[in-house]
Amino acid sequence: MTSKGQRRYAAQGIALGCRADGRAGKDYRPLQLELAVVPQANGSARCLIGASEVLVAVKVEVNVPEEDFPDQGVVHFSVECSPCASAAFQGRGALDLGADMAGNLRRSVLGGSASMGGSLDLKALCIISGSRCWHVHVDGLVINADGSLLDALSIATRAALTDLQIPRVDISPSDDPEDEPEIELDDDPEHAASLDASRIPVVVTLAEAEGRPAVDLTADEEASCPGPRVHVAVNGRGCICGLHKQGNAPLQLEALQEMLALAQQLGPRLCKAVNAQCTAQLHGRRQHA
Amino acid sequence: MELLSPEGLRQDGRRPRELRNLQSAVDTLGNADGSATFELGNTKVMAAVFGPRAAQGKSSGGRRDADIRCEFAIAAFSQSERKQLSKRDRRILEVRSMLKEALKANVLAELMPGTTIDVYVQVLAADGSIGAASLNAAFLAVADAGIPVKDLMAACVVGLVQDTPILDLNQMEEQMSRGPSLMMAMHVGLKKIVVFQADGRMPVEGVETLAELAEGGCQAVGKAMRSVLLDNTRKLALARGPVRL
Repeated sequence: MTSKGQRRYAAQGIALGCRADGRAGKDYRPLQLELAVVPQANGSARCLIGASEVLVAVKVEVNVPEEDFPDQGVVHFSVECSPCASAAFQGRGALDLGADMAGNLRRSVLGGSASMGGSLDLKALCIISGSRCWHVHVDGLVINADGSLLDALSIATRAALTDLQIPRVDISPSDDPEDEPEIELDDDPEHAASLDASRIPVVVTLAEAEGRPAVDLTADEEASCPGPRVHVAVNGRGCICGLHKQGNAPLQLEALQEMLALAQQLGPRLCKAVNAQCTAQLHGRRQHA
Repeated sequence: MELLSPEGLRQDGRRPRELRNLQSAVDTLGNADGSATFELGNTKVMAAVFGPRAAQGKSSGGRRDADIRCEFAIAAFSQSERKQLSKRDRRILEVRSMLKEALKANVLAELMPGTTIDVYVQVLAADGSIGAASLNAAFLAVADAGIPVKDLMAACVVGLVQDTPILDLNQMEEQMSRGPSLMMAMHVGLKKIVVFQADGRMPVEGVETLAELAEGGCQAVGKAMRSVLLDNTRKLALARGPVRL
């Protein structure tokens, strides 16, 4: 969709609350979640918002903690945009977009650089203070791009971390007290521990069309609304955990406040929907086992 | 560890000449002109085709056939150890050039002069036989895009473990086996071999046994792929309604 008239039609549709697919400005497309989709990962989830599809897989490994935080684990984020997802992602086209979204996810889950006030209990990832801890790799992959990619990635991240099973470690002190103690991994899924993912926020991306805030823009609508884009990380209780304005279009303070109010209203609803789907699937799996 | 038990069963319980659970689907992605996923046990690959579209760049402008371009990627989380392979990694480049050569041998490129066909293959879960699964996914995506081809092309991997030929190696068998392995792709109707990549030393007589087993494997995979494509065509034909001439 490129013509000026079509773009104006889409923008006005959003502003008037009657979009091409019949949604109002603050409606999300149908959300689908599927857990444990990558057997090689410790936790994974696939999230579909309309035609947008992303996959997030979490893998853990035993490694050394960061010097400044000896009693904390480390969480890494990366996002890859597969060229399968969109014709615009071929070659090196999507490297910046992937890095941007990974940074956004990182900030929304971990908070500041020192990960103070983050939504994950990093101390739970410590194995031996100062020498061994879990490194958690959160890898996102965009499979089909049709707008709201960061929203989908954050939802899949929350679900994948809910699905995450960290193997139990057995620490046996070695004979020589100078040596490092030996660490053995217990492969039994019965003994695996999960991480508390209930405080992880989801990202609500808001756009402005003719002065009205709107969420969940499709790729066509994104092309029609060149205005500012605001990513708001909201947790299940409606608290704002992060805020990031994307693009260089200016934004009025009143508009931002209106957007924040909408995000605060939608965030808990999204979290609830994610929780409901996760619990149903985890429960189903337990019964199956 | 023995890869074959005294009873002749493999670690995952399969008989030597048994394929893993095979699942494939076409038209799985919204943005691509053709797309497919191909699953073989715990190996899962997706492929997307963009094109044929007007050639981009100067070099391909005056060509008398279609320019087929390939990209191949393995997701960092897809293997048992997390590993991010760069696009310039030897293993990536090897598979990429194999895919490109095999598709060139299959697509009737001379019918589409001055165009470019982009084929992107992404491994989502890796448990052995990645090259063969990627080629199968790529072929299904090409067929889904409606690009004319010579014949249905299917691929599989065979290997020799403790002097027994086995079909469809998984990750553990690929890593632990000290015997030779062979990846073969063929035109299943024309019975012509397109790709024949053998690794490891093997006796001359062994080549024939392995090739025969691989042919059987390709035929079985091809049959499954054919039924998926036919089902999809039926679905499209129903959606289109009766044809009036």
